[in-house]
Amino acid sequence: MSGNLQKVCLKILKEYFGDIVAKVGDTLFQKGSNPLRILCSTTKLPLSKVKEALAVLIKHNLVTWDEWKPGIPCYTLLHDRVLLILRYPRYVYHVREKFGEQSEMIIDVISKEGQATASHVIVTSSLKMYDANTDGMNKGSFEQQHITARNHLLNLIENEYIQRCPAPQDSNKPVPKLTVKAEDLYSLTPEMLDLKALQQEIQLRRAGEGKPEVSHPYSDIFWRINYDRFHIDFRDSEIRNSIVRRVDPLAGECLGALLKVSYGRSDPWVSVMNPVTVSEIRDHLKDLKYLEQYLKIIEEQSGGCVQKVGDAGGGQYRINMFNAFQSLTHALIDNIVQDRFGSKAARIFRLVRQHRMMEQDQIGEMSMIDKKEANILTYRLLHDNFLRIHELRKTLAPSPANKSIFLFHVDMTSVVRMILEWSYKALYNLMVQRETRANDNRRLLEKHIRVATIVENLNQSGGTEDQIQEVLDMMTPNEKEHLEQVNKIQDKLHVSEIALDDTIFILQMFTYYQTL
Amino acid sequence: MAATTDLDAQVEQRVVQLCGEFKQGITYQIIQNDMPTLELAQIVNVINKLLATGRLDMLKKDDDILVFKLRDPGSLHRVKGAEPEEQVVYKIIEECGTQGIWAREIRSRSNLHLNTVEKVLRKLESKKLIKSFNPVSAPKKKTYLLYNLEPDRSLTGGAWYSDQHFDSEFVDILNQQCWRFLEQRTVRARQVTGGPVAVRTASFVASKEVLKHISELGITKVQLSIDDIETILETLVFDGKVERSVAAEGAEGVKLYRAVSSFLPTPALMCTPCGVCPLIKECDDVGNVTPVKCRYMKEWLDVEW
Repeated sequence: MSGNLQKVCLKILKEYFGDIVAKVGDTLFQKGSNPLRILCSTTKLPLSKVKEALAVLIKHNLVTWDEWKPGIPCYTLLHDRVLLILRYPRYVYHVREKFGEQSEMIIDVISKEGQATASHVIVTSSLKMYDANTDGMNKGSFEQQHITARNHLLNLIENEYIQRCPAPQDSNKPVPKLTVKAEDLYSLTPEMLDLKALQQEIQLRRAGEGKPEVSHPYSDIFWRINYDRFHIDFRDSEIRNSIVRRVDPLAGECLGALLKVSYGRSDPWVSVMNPVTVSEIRDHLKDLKYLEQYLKIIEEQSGGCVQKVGDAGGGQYRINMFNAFQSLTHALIDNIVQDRFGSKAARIFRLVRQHRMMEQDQIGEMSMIDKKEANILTYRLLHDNFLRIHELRKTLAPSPANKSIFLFHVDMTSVVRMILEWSYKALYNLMVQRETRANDNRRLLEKHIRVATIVENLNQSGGTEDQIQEVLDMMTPNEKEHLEQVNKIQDKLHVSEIALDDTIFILQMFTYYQTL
Repeated sequence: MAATTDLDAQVEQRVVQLCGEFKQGITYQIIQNDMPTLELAQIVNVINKLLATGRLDMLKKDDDILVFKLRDPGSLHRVKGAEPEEQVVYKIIEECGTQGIWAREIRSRSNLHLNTVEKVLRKLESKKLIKSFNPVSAPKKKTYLLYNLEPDRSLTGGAWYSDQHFDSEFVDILNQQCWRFLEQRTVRARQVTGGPVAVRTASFVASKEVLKHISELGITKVQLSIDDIETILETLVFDGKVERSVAAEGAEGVKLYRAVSSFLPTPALMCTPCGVCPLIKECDDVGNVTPVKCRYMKEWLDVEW
């Protein structure tokens, strides 16, 4: 909760849902939980608009409500979820890598809709698949498209990437409570889908009949993305990548197997998982020659992520997520200090962190840096809040005879918080820059879209080559070149935003495990 | 030849020991009785050496018998024209050994006037009995010690100081070279077959080996000790580029080092201009520093064309 976070959230909401939703969301962020009437008066928007905006936010799982006074709900913005909107491309990409294009479409549809019924997801994703493969796919395979889509959806639900939305128990109450039974959370039974109706709707929609009236069973059951499941995957890949960097790809495989076995044993979000034996890991990695050796190395090299706890069953190992993210965050912040202040400052920073409390002279001596330079660097780190000072006095009474001792130390949680703030600020700056650049070149971009639409229409209505060429020539070579540059910059900014989210992810994980 | 020098050294040691036992001095006779196998020429040889290095004094008794005594290290009576003040000051400086002593300290200990002390010190210095130097910890405190002594490491700062200044360039070069050496080892170790443990073991290098490599490189004229090289290697540990392990070699542990890579690549935050921006604290929507007006951002985005 901070000014930077608020600005980022506002920007995201504005970009994805427009001004009104952004205004309502921002008010909720700044004022906390509020009932509808107060929202109307603070935002100075008409009731209907605020209602609409809240509906959009609720549909995208960004707002929850509670009973404020009997019969009157108050709404709360889940600001962490707002930030997750930026992670959607990553979710989609992740699913594509793991399950293929059809699953990618499904996640794409759900992430755009927020919450959607199973039949809607299947129909829309099937149609999208069809659009994406107009040439390559023959008609026969498309007949079965809805089956493929259903299978992919089932697979995603089974793997818990998609979960069922909670529904009101008693919709007659003015402030319904949403619940879902634990056993229903990840179950999509066959009778919930009417395959014939699905096929029918797909065909009608393809034939170009805007919104055909096909009724589907269970249209009150909605599905949404299970963020946590994705985060477990991201978290695992962070740890695995770090081991691959440190040791080699095979060690990454071992760690992957270890994680897989561990998840069968314990809740994935506890900080220390239950131990597993080597023989169990062996079942997953039958061909690996040096499994025991690798585990030994990982134990040494993973920065406390993997710990040996006993010798039963060929050796027992357990995963310690707390340590894993502690060492990852340390590495991250070391890198940040190094890039910002140079490698000598990074040496001092690491030195102080490892020794907990250090005196000025000690720092100079142990870091082997010229005393003057060491002092300057230390004070610069102090100035930028990476280091802190602790004053030790022999007596409380200030007297010149009692020289007080100044000890430098690192307060990791506050450094992490500061870096998170920076990241939010950087994110905001990148988004502002992207928006400004898009606005500056609005005329050009709009012209490009217009030309593209005309060409598309001509293509469909069977225009001649000359006609198309004539339309294409509406863009001068100069404009084309400029357009390319603008697009390149937009891509660069967008890529940076997504990459920045990775840094934020590690820091968020660190904070999560610290507060656990 | 080697055998004779060895024997000479033994005899020399024995003679010094004898002198220690007989405080009133020893004669040829005593030496010969102690080591009957020795020839007179050998004894003379050894004694001459001891006399030349100033460790023995030769005295003549009334009955013309030569007596050898250990030279009293504090005796200044050899110095011609040594005044009592000089003797006192010399003695004080001598007591401090390799630690050296500050002029003002001499004054308080000797109860002499500071001017006198300084005069005496100048005199002794010109006679090459004492010398002065400035310790690195307090460069303005001129410290005196005997001419033939080398100041203590804590005062000179060891190998890392040249002319009382910390030689950070030298340290940096050593730091880089050590890392390069360890890195090469790690790369070479990857070729080792026989499992990951073998690879890891092969990538570890003992500090002794690093020292040997550095001496062979010839980048330094100063003779470095194991401790020196370990200090350098420790800095690499603090740089996060190297990890340390201890292995048993015989009864004592040997420090082993190996190059490692960081857990993470450069964070994405640092790849954006905001990550390294010196003005990030001032940056806001209004004012002179805004993301829209940002020069760093503009340069970063427009750099490719």
